[in-house]
Amino acid sequence: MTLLDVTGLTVTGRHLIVDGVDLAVSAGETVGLVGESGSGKSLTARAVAGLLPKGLTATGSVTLSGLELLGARERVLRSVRGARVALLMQDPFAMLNPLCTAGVHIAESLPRSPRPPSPFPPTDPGASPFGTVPADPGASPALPQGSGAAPTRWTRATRRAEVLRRLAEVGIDDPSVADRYPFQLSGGMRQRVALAAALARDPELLIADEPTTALDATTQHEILMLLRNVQRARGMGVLLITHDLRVAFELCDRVAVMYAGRLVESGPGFDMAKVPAHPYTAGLLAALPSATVTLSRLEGIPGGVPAAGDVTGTCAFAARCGQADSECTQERPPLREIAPDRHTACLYEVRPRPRAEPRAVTPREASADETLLRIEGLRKRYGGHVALGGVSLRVGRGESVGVVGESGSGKTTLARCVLGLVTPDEGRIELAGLDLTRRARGGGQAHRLVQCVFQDPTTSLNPSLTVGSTLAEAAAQGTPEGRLSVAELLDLVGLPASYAARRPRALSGGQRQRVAIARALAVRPALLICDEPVASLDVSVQAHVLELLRTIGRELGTSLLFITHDLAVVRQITDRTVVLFRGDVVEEGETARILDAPAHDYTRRLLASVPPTP
Amino acid sequence: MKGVLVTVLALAALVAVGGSHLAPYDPAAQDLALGAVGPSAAHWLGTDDLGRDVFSRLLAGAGSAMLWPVLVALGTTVLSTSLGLLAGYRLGWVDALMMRAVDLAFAMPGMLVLIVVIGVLGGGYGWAVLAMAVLLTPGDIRVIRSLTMAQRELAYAEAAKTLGLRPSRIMFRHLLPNIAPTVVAGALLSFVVAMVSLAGLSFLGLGLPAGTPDWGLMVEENRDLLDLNPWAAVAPVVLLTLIASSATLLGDRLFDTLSKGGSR
Amino acid sequence: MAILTLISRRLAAALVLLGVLSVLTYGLLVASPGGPEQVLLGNRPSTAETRAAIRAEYHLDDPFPLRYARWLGDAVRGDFGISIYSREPVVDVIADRLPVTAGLAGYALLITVAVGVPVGLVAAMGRGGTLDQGITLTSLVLLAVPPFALSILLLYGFAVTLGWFPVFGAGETPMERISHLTLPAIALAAAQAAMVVRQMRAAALDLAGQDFLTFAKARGLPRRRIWIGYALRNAALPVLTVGGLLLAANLTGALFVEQAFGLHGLGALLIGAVGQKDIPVVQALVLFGGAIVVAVNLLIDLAYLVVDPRVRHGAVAS
Repeated sequence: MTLLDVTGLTVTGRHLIVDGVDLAVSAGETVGLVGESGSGKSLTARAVAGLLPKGLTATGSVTLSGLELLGARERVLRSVRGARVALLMQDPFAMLNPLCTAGVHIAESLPRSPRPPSPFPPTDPGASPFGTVPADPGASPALPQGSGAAPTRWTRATRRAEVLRRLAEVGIDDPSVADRYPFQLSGGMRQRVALAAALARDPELLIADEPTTALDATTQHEILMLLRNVQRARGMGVLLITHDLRVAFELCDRVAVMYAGRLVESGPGFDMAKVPAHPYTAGLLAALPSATVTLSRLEGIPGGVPAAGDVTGTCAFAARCGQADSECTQERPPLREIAPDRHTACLYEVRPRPRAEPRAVTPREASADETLLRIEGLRKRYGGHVALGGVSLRVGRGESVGVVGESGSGKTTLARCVLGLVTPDEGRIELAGLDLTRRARGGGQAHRLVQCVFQDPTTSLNPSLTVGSTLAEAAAQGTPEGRLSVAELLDLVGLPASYAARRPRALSGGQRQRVAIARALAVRPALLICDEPVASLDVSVQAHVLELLRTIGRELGTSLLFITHDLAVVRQITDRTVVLFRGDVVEEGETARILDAPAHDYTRRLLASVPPTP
Repeated sequence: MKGVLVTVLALAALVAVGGSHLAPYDPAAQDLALGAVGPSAAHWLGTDDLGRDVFSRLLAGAGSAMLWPVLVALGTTVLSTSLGLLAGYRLGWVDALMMRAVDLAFAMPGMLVLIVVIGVLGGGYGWAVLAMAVLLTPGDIRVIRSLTMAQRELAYAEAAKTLGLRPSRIMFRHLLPNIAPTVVAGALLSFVVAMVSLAGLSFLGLGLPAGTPDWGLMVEENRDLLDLNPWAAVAPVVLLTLIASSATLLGDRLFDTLSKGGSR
Repeated sequence: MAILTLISRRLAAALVLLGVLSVLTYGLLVASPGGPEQVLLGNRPSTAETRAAIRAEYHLDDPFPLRYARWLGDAVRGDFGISIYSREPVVDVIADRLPVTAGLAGYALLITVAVGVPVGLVAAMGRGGTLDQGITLTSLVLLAVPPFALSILLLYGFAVTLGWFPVFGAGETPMERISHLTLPAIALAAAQAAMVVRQMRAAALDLAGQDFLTFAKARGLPRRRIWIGYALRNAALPVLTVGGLLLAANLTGALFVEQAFGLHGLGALLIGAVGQKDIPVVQALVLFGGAIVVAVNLLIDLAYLVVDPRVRHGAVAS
């Protein structure tokens, strides 16, 4: 039975954003809507919930069990929101009212009376025979099981008991959490509280918009599993919006892929993972790094996502597609059925992409024996919080070492100590024979030895300087002999020399990270620290940047210290790996060995939380 | 819009520099027999109760009404920008010390103290100008400092540090351009506050000897003449209002344009 | 516990401020031209006897700290000495003038809130529209116009030309008083209302983009709950922050407005006392003004504690 039916949904603001999306979610089904940033997936979700930001308008049709929601009056929408359709958003740090406790959030979201919510007033067009009772009340542990005569109003005690029960449903057994404020809770806890609040009126459909993107890997996994369990227990329909194909395949019955504001492929996740029917899906799959095999080459998708409004009359992907021909730009390819419940917007059969061969694990050149960076017993405290509890590690010349950990593991503090941005409390940092523990250090030579690529591409470059002057300034900090020109540096990272005149705002995220890499390499450092350099990039771009870092490391003989939370990335780019947990090294060794046969319990948990790569 | 604002301010600047040469009468020349009369062909804005030509006095006062505030604005901007950058970039004890002082200055009813000090201890206009700058600086320091602190955390600033650039270069070449919109808007705002406050002080009869052709003083001396020749008091008020609001609006527009151009 | 530490720290800071202010204030007497004797003599004949009497009466031969301590002790008990000009106790002089200023300030505050908050909200709701642009423009202009200039314009326009309001004085009966104080209150409130409008608009716009507001709507919460529990409470915080600034503007603004409208309030008293070198009155007024500013800032800090749990639990500094 179709619960949610979206047909020809189009969202327009100043430009066209979502272009004719068809989507259906049946009761008890989980559907994944997958796309990279700018694909319009989040606004599709907002449009379905009737919560588009001001200035955007939606046309087409969105029906919930036959009730048209697009263009419905605000009163109708209010009776649907929360009661029949719930929305869970991405950022658990922004979703909860900072001034209210967790308990208040849930309590205020509960239905007016304790019994399964009263039917809608008869005049209400939102009234439906299904009311707000979940599809299978018997399967729901969360429903208040009315004991005898049902009271019609909440009392303090029954409301409190209900709040605690709701918390328990999302895996919070500690009743004191109800009295805590959002700022006193971790990201994972907040997302659980938000889920409990969203489900408080037992909706039939949950729209979850990137519900785990802002969370750590292990927490991410826990929340996804929780979502799956709650969905199954309640028999609820779920529309999961995500940028991560692996998450969609792991959790969803059916998957729809969005690109430049439209659907390009849809079908059962299992089939799609095996045989993608659209070149874009195939490209995304090929770009996914794997935590289980080391690939000889990482394939990104060339070019960037076009604006939806620029490609209305053609295949949106044609310009980046390896098998496009003149037919593809003649007209917009319709979404055609290729098998039952399986659709693609490609005219052709996707040519099988030769998946890159696993790389023969050849340890780097022999000089890895020669130690470049030696860290011993590094400690750093911030107030009562121990960021580093005595970390030791070694990076050989030309070697690539990964430092893996979640937020709070101390991995970034470690990087900042080596960079001299933070002074450690205890311990020793030795780089190429120089003592760099304190930053009055190395006779002013430190910056020629170690450089860094930072995480956030939106701030990694000074917005008021041109790319050229940024690079020239960096090069001038190196030794005069062998100094690279701006053009040479741009060439090194695969950008045309004409980019020197551009300012950062005219570059895409991936291009900015390339410039940031060129800036770091301009002084020809012996060690390059990469602090989550691809964490904020889309998968298709991520692959390009990773491949670039990998080849540069090999060609220039630069050692890499690669800080990341992503085990798949570590697999592709490092020789050895160090796992950090709460400021301590819990495991280290050859990357392949650690990922194939983890010894420490925490490493195993990390590995288990990586969604399987199809 | 911006064109109008710039034109108003440019005209004002022109009058400020050459005003006293344009005056048709000696601004101090009295004509007691004439007294306060309304506008006429001979006296465009009429005369005050001592028969002095209001238009000439207005022109003669333009210089001090605008030049001192410009000095105050320049002084405060340079001082607060460098101190704010220093405090925000260096942090540590430099910052702690400076912020204590700023907090103290902020919690005081500054204008009140200024009035009392100038009024009781005498001290001329020069002191008032200096005190004005001292009063305005702490607020600006605080703003610049918090912006600097936000910028220094950003990846590009950390990268500059990692490259081993000198702190002064990081502060002035990397951070300053990114907070420039605020600095520019702040300078214009300082100019407005200084102009308005200095005029206010002389309106209260502080800082300047009676009879000086000063806009604030003219308002004070002529506010009883609203029925005889309202222009004697209203004209300086209109000029002050016009210039002050033009500068404020220009600051607002410049801030918008600059921040759009710099960081998006 | 965090909350107690926070309150005690705020209290201590307030006391330190008042201490510094009182030293500066007392220093006025010493530093004024002619020295304390001359000031305290006022216009009485300066003979050896009167001088000696003054020196003895005010303990001028004691060391500075001792004199200061004695003066402060008296001041804390509400004794600021005798006005040199009127020969009445300073406290009585102030009490006499207080109602006018309090009425003016209260009236202005009322206008500020009653106009500022709704207009700011209206501007935010019609963001980018003609109305919003008009409101933004007007508030910027009003921010730039000094109260005394606005006073003159209002006087000329509404009192002299149109004759709707009285020109000078504060009036006797309550009704008279309201009509007498209306123009001054508007002159005083204009800039503050403009500040509130801008703050309110920014706070509302900031809120509109917040996820928690969308999430509240998505849960189908009643509109009243969203407006009061979510929007108003969260918007109150940034607006509260300008409260201290508003007060400082109110204090100095009142000075100019009273002078412009010929109101005999505390501002006019201060200007008069400054002109007559009536130091005891000046001291009392400056300390009084300082105490009000410090007290209100303290109240705002406490209000933060009540409204924002993050401050209450010491998670962020207010």
